[in-house]
Amino acid sequence: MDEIIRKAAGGDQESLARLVRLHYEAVCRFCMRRLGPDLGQDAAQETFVLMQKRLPSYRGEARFSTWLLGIAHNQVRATARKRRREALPLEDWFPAPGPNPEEQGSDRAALHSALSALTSEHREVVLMHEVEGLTYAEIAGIIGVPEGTVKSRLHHAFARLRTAMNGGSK
Amino acid sequence: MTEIRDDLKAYLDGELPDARRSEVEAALAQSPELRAELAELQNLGELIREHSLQPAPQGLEQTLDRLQRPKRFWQPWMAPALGAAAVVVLAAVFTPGVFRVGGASMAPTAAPIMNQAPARAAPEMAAEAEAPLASSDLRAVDPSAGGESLAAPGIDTLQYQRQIIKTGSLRIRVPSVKESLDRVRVVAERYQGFIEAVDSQGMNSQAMANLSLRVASKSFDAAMKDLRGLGLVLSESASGQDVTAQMVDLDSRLRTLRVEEESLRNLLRSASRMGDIITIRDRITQIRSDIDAMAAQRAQLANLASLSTINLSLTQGPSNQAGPEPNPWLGDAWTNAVRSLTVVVRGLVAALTYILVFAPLWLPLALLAWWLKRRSAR
Repeated sequence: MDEIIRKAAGGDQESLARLVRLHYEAVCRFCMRRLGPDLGQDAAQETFVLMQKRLPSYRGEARFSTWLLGIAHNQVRATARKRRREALPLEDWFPAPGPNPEEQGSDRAALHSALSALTSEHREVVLMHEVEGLTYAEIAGIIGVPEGTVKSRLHHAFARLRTAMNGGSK
Repeated sequence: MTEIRDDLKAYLDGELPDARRSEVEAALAQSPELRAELAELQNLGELIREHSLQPAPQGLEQTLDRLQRPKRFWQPWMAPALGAAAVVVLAAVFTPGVFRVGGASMAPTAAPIMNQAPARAAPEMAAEAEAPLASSDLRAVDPSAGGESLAAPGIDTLQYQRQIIKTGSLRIRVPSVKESLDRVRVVAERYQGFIEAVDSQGMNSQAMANLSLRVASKSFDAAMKDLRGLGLVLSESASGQDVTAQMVDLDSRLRTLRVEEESLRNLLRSASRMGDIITIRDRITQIRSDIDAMAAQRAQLANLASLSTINLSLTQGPSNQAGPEPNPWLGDAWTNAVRSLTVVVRGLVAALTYILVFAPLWLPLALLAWWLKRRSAR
């Protein structure tokens, strides 16, 4: 793995292509969940362009995937700011249930409304941990906060979700 | 119990250190309430994962394509840079004045006058150097010697150092003529020169003096500058006469005459008839006197050229405003700085004018580059 990174940083096109293929899925999903399919795809492409530019300065302090998602995270924020888009809209990763009464009364509907009541900071850690499967340390590295903050945000987010779900079903 | 509850989520996620995990496990074993809460948290997580979208990644090939595209030679920043370079080049080509004005106006005041003199004299000098040597009478004297001396002048003219007779004159009002005379003497000595003639008249407020000062030619400008510091400069002039051609001419004529003298002496030695001897002697005497006259003329020219002359006229008068400057170098620096600033500002204004006038050429290009950049960024 390190060998590929070194070669890609040195300008080896084949290694660069392998590196992109290895990480494209994760980065593209990451961007699409935050920006929707079109803008997400553009942001993913920009992320890899930036990756190519910054590869020579990658020193391996963080895991490569964390480092790369950090770039993607910044790219997403820049795009959202430029497009005056809401940060982390729910519909791109947790769509609202259909209009029929069955779906309306389901757990999914309750969860949707509970998730949409969360702050964007809480929603972000929920997405990263539960859906994207990132560890606390990885999340901390990507969004640039201490690990303890990630832990406490996740705890509070789930406490709110529980309250909302219990209140909704009772 | 609250503390344990705070760590339940982290326990579920396997993010607790070993010691803390044991504590939470112990608490869980005792409390069915905590176990229920843990189960709820677990359900919530599963529910989120179950219903969240898994978007299908697209665009891998485009991304690879973009990364492996060779870097474009053309970069957007090149448009304005090239435009500016073109404007500068055009300005340089079409207004030589813009750049030359700077050089001339920054030189010391006396320099332009001195510089122009040799420049004007140069073509004349070239003409003079050739004319006498090409004349037939020189060649007729002695074909062998003539040939030699004819070959020489072209090279000689190049080898000769420029000989310029510099003459300057200054009229200065000074606080005290007597003191100034001493200072002039110091100036003359400083520049390997001397006071050739002094003519001073009057006393006290009516005192005045005319001096002829000789200083080494190479120090002419410096000496003039020092003398200006004596007081208020009422008038000033400087001129230069290029005598290089004259000296080259004199030298070659001298050489020819000497060769002729030598050959006549040889002739004299072998002559036997009295009539011949007398004729040859007469001719030698004539040539000798010519040589002496020319040598004297040449020596005078060399003297004039090696030491330049400054005619200085000093008058005594109030110089409260225009006494010797306390800090001449500071004044010079100030004047030069102001002059340089003017030149720079003039140059900038000229450049800006060019940029403005050439806008129809570069503006569309710049706009196009900007538009392309915007489009590619999108």
